[in-house]
Amino acid sequence: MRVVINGRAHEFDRDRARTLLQLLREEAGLTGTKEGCGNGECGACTVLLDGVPVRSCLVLAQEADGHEVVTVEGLARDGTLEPLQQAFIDAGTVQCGFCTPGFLLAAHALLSTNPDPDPEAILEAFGGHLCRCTGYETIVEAVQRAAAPRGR
Amino acid sequence: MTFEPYRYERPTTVEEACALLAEPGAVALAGGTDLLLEMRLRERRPSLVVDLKSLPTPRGVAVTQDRVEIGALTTVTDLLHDEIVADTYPCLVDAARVFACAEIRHRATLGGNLANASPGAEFTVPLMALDADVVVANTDGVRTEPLATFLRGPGRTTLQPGELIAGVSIPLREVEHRCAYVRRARTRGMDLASVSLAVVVHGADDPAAREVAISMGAVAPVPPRPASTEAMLSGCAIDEALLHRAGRDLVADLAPRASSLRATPGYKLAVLPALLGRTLRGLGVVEP
Repeated sequence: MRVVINGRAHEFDRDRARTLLQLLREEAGLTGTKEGCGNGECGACTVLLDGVPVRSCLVLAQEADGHEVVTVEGLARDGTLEPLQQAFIDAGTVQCGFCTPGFLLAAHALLSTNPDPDPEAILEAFGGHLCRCTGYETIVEAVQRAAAPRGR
Repeated sequence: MTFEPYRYERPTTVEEACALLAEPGAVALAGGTDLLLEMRLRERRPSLVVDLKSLPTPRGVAVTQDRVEIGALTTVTDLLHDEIVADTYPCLVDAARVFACAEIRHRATLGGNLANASPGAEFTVPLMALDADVVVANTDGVRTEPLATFLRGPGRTTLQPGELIAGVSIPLREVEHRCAYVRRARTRGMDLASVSLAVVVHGADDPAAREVAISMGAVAPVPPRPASTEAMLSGCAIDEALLHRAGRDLVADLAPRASSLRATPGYKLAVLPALLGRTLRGLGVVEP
């Protein structure tokens, strides 16, 4: 089976029983995607599947056959962080960092459909993302910082 | 975490899908947001996973003269933004809005929500009040069954091996109607309903011709329709005194199980009458 991950096509064994999350971490070596709860509750494993944010722990690897996946490793271009990632750093969002990849991809998807979201829309997009260091305020602030230059 | 081994198939015709689903150990996969949890917990150990997402069954909503038809593969995100649903039965938009979180709304489907038959499922509760039918495809063609008989209990439906849910068909009556779906949950985001209520008022503008339909979630194995409460509120003007009596009647026959993780029976029985009053007032059918 063939999955395009971060713009590059990869071949995988179609017969192994596993989730997309396991395929990404254990076979593609992309450990930026985290397993938090493994039950779809926490958001740490969020990736983009055909541009749409999904829980990779709730997707079978085979479901991605013929589709495109973007992980946190795919956000930077040629070694330069995307503005959203830089805004996460500038706003001081990262403590332990375990939830950060999921928040980044949820925020990236939000900004791609809504370039200037209000705080309510940001909270809605983050409704299924848990940060146990309780860094929510700085994360929302980071999205607003990243959105502001785009909106103008 | 590993799953038991399974064979994965992604059929492109309904006939092929039904033949695969007739095989022993086969399970249908749509959004997967419930199935993968069950596989992880080893509550289900399918030897064959039949992914329905490449089927030509329509994904989306269509309206005819007297029905609203929704394809089983329609996602919760699709429903949240659908203009036909917003214009006809916005109680389904109410349900989509509170459903899990954005990532799960993008994957979870209407067909999956019905197939899982959770007593507090976000969509079965309003669809019961809307008198919806389930359209089931099998090797013989299609059969249509009222949702009220399709649901048999938690996780149980009349779906047989070799059958799949093709869609939902909701009657669209000529009289003006209003509807709403409300729920209580422990947190604002990412939680299942502790208790929920759907109200549909047909002929909202004319008290004499008015028909009120009600269904409730997370109080019984299948979302119940309280016939006596519906009768009390139909065909007459509704004032606060009637609302008070109707609220008591609404919960008179309910005995929610005490083992619920989310709310006690006492909470549910106390909250439902208040939700009924608030919802009918919000729909503008209560006399000032």
